[in-house]
Parts: sequence; structure tokens; C-alpha cells
Amino acid sequence: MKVIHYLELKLYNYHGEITPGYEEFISKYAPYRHGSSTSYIFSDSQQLAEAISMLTKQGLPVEHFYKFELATNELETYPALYLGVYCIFEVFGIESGKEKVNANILNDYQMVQDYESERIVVSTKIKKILDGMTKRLSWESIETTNGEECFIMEVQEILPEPIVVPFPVSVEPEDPVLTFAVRSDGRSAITETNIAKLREVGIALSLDVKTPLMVLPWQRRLLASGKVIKALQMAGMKNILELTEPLLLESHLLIAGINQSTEYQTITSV
Amino acid sequence: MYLCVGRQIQLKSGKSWSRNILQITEIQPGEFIKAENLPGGLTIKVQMPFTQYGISWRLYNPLAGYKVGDAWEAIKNLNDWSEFNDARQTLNYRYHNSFKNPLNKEWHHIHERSAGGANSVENLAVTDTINNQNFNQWFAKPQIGTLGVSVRLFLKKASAQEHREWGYKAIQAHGLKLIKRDLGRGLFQEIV
Repeated sequence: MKVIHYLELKLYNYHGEITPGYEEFISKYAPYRHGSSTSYIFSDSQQLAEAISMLTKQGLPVEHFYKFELATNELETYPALYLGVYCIFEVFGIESGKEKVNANILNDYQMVQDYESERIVVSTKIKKILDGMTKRLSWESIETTNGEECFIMEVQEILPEPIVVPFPVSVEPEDPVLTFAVRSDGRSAITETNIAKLREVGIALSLDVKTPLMVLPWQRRLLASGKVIKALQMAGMKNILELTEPLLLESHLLIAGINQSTEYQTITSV
Repeated sequence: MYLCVGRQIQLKSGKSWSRNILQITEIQPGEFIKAENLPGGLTIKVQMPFTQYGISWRLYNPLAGYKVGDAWEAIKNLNDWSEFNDARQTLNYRYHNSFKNPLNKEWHHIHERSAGGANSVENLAVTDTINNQNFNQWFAKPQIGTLGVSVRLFLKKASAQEHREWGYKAIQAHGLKLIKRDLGRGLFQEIV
């Protein structure tokens, strides 16, 4: 697995001018800049450390994020990845008094989440793949605006333990339900118990997160084994690798040793 | 209704009319028309039956729907509008002295409109149509740190300030900048 470091900088002010102090950094690290964005990408830890040092010495704000990429031959056997789903407005509509799925949207994505209802809809092709390699997914048949059949997917299996986020960037309570929007620096880990569950069922939901201070209920996330992701990729699901993200094992160097001695308070949903 | 190849049409989009303008490329009298979009942006080709005229498609009238006279005076100096059409008309005027959108440009909501974003100078910025489409895709997917949740869903219950901050991230992630401008007709923002 490849570790990619992203440095996010506040390069511009509101007039589109370069923030004073960044000029030297921009010049020195031009080859590492991600296009003309405000991100700089490093894979070498020595160069990364030098870049951060230069910024901090000058008192320039920087945020450090991690991204993990699996090699092609690692995907199928990787134990756990987040399975992101494109979230689109108005996947559902009413036609002749009947709720239908927008055929153009479904044809484009094959698996898509409706913003308002948060329901996930999949094409017949994707349903067949998932049916063959997962357990306890439930399906509700629904018609598209083209008159084709597709399915609302519901994931029944829940991971028994929280996902570990050792370095949350922000933890924001959400109203009105007591869940939390937790943003990480890119690092998150999965426990052996959860891995065993995913190996058994293929796809499961995560309902809570273990931060350095406590276990919190968070926005539900779909997780899948690499085997399931690989099958979706083989089926030609649009940009599936852009939507997925591998979780680290608890033994990974970027996780190990963190959170081991903390006592946790658990907050539950109301 | 006078139809000929080259005339422009609009399609119904939800309860209103789409801002994408298509051009008629073929007419089968009494049966259907074929149309496609003007150069730039995604390719859209449609075949629309005559029986759907006024329901699913209509001829495009570039001045339809714009406020004039006292109604225009009432909105032209505002910086926050309840209707997006009013915001667009005013901001287009401020940007290029016309009520119409500039060719291949759209007004992007920094805090997404469908997620409750305001129709205000602070929340709207003119940009290339393709940028608007890219931002839309960016919000539909997970990004660094959201851990498998699309940005759109990640922000569903977030404050307006957080929506705005992620809106800036989307702009920066595409190598673009948000700039405040005034060409003598009032304030507007541009993403370049």
C-alpha cells in the first residue's frame, strides 16, 4: 500500500493574491504542487519533513493529510475499504403518481445514493454481483423512468466494533440526532473483529467511531471487503476506486501505539 | 409556434425549465424534433415529440422571465435574493451588463443550493460551466478525511460556515480562485 502525504496550504487571500510568506515555498516546492491547487503531494518522508519544517519555521499554517492507495494486485485480498457511493440530488421522482428512479442517473452511476432520503439504489447488474458475494443485504424492487427494474439496497449487517480514528481533524455534533461528523487526517483503522465480520458478510455498516477521547456515534458508513470492491470494479462500476479508501490495520505503523492507554466513554444515539 | 432548424429550445427540469439551451437539428413535421446542445459542456441530444410541447420542451425566449421596470429596480441593488432567478439576473447585469448568463458560464453556489445555500453575492460566483459540473461531482464523492462519506452527505447537517469552507476547498482542489469584483455596477464574485 502506498502512503501519499498531502499538505494543504492557505495560499491565497480573498483577492486571489498569494498570501505573504508563501512565495519561497511555492518556488522551492513547485514540482510537488498538485496542478494549480493549494495541495502539495509528497511520498518521500524526508522531503515531507523538510517542507513542513520550512512552513512551520515561517509560521505559515499547514494541514497534513494522508491518502492510501492499494496496488492493483492488493485490492482483492485487502480486508476492509470504505465503500463510498455517489450522492446525488433527486434520484427519485414521482411519475404518474408513482415513485420512480431517474433512469439517466442510475445508468450513469449504477450505484447511487439519494441526498434527501439517503437510500441507495443499484442496477440489476450490481445487485446480481452483490447477491452472490454478500450476506444480509435486503432489496426493494423499484422501476426507473425508463420502465426498467432496479433495487433499493439496505445493509443489515453492522460492524461489532467502532472504526478507530486516532487523529480527528474535527468532531462536530449533528442536529437533531446525536451523531457526529468526524473528519480525520486520512488515517483510520479497523479492528480484527471487524475484519472477521467483513470477511463473513462482504458489506457492513459502521455506526460508531473511536476517537482519542471517546466512542461516538457517527454518520453511517458502508464498508466492504476488497473482494467485493474488486468484483464491482470488474463489473465496470463507474470510478469505483475513486470512491473507496482502504482502512489501516491496527498494527500499521501510522496507527500502532496510539489510543492504547486511553479510557473511553461511550456516547449512544438517542 | 414557428419551428425551423437552428431555433433554440429548453427542456423541463423538475418543476422549472432547464438553463441548458438546445438547438433544433431536425424536424419531422407533426411527429418530433431532434435537438442538441450548443458547443461546450456535456453533449446532450434529445428527440422530443410534438405532443410534449409546452410540457417537456418549449421554444427558448431569452427575455422571458426577466424582471423589468419597478420589479427590476427592486432587486438590482440587493446582495441577497429569495429567488435564484433574481440573483442570476442581477449578477449577470453586474458581470457583463446583460441579464443572460455569459456563454458557457454559470453561477455556482459555494454552499450548494439544493443543500440550502443562499442566493447571495457571498454565496454565488460566476464560473465556466465545466467548473460547475466538476464541483458538483466533487461534492458527490468522498474526499480526504470524510472517510467514505460523500462531501454532500458529510455536510448534510453542518453549519452554513462549514458548507462554505468545503465550498472553498472544492474551488482550491480544482486549482481555481475565488475573487470579489466590482465593475461599477455592483459587487459579484468570480471563480477563475
